[in-house]
Amino acid sequence: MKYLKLPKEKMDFFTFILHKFGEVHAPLKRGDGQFAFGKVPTWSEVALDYNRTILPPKKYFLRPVDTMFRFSQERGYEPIIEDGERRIILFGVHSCDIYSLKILDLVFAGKYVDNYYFTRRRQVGIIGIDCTPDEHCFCHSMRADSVSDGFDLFLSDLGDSYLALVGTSLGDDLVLAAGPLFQEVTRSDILEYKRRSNERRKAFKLEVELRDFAGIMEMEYGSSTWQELGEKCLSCGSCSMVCPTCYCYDVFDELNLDLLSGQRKRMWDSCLRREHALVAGGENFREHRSDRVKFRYYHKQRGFVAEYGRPSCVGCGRCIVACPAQIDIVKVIEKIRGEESGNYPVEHGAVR
Amino acid sequence: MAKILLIDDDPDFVDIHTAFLEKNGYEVISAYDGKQGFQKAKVEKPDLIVLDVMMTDRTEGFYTARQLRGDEDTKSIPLILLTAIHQEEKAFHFAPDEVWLPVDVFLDKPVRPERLLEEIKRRLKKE
Repeated sequence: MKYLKLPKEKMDFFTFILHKFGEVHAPLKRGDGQFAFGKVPTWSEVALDYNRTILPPKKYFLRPVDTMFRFSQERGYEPIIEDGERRIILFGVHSCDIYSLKILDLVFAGKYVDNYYFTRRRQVGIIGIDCTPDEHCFCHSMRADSVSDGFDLFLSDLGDSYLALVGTSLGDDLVLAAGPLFQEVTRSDILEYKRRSNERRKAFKLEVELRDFAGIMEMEYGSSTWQELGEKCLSCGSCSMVCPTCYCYDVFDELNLDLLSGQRKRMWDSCLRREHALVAGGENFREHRSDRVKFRYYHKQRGFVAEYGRPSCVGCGRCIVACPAQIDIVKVIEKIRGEESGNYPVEHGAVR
Repeated sequence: MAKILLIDDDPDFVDIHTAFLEKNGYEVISAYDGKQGFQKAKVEKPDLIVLDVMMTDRTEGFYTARQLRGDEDTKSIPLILLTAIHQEEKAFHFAPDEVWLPVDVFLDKPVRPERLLEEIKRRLKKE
């Protein structure tokens, strides 16, 4: 893997040079100390020291609302051809979010490959950047606090400069285009990189133990904790909307006014919503809020582990920040791990 | 009378060149940052724009140039980029590029007013 050094004072020039490769998107300041990925209007609006964006990068690949195809009586089904070969360079992506894309890749490359997702995946270059964890970050516990692939270029803070790891041929092209802005890495840079890498682990204020957790989840299926959580949860779905690895969507047809043509669309959905498991005839497999919140935890922390060998959570902390009922995933996991959760109410048919 | 929009954060530069261009028969309007410049370009529809690069931040004018070229109302207005950026960044050479840096001319500051006038005349004649 090629590695070079980029002085911080050249970052504005480097960002502009990136426009040679496509539209540059980066974390931008929004109101109330929040951040969102968006098209870079000028360098001064880029906030590389952000904690987390409101929505994760998945919005570029699995759009909140997406048109899949058009249909009409005369022409049948017509694929949507949009954006052509327009490329986006997504600049300033944290490790946990890069890791989340690797998880989404696994899902969308499954039995039925999702070409909508992968077409966009091919059109978006990723430049990662390291970060300092805040009080809601637990990516270290989720093994998502560092990545060795999944990026074209990754920038690590060295103080006055960034160490740039080149991950792909696109990353190499980006470095070559900005040629003179990059410098050779010295031995002292490498030592500083290693020192900061070792220091970073100590910066985490939030940790959660996941050892044996899939098994513990299995054993605590009937825990009263799920009922308590259901009473607190508002079923608003905010946690799913901001989650970088939630990928559920609803498919619907939107008819035009002529009632003879229309579009098939898909829209982000959440398993917290009552309609998510509602089927024809009015049967609902997850009628109660406690059923739905429990399902979400079991899908991400248990089912996904069985299917893909790891939880579908990267510890970004977005759900903790977004939940209007102050449900904290770390506290839920701790409670399930703790002795006090081992209470089995009869109505929940606990021990299977 | 052709209308010229000067976008530069240096009031002295704007004052001197406004006086010079007015003396040479042009109507001159001005803006002091990229955002204001873009808005004025849309509303005033100048015949030519002279744009500085290093304003609120060092690459602001580059972004303004792209914004001007990406907007229906302003995309065909001749654009002269006038900047001292190569004094700041000697290692990298910035030059006009149809997609990346879509400007008509790239002039390095300091530039003699006569040289600027010559370029303005040439660009307006082309129009």
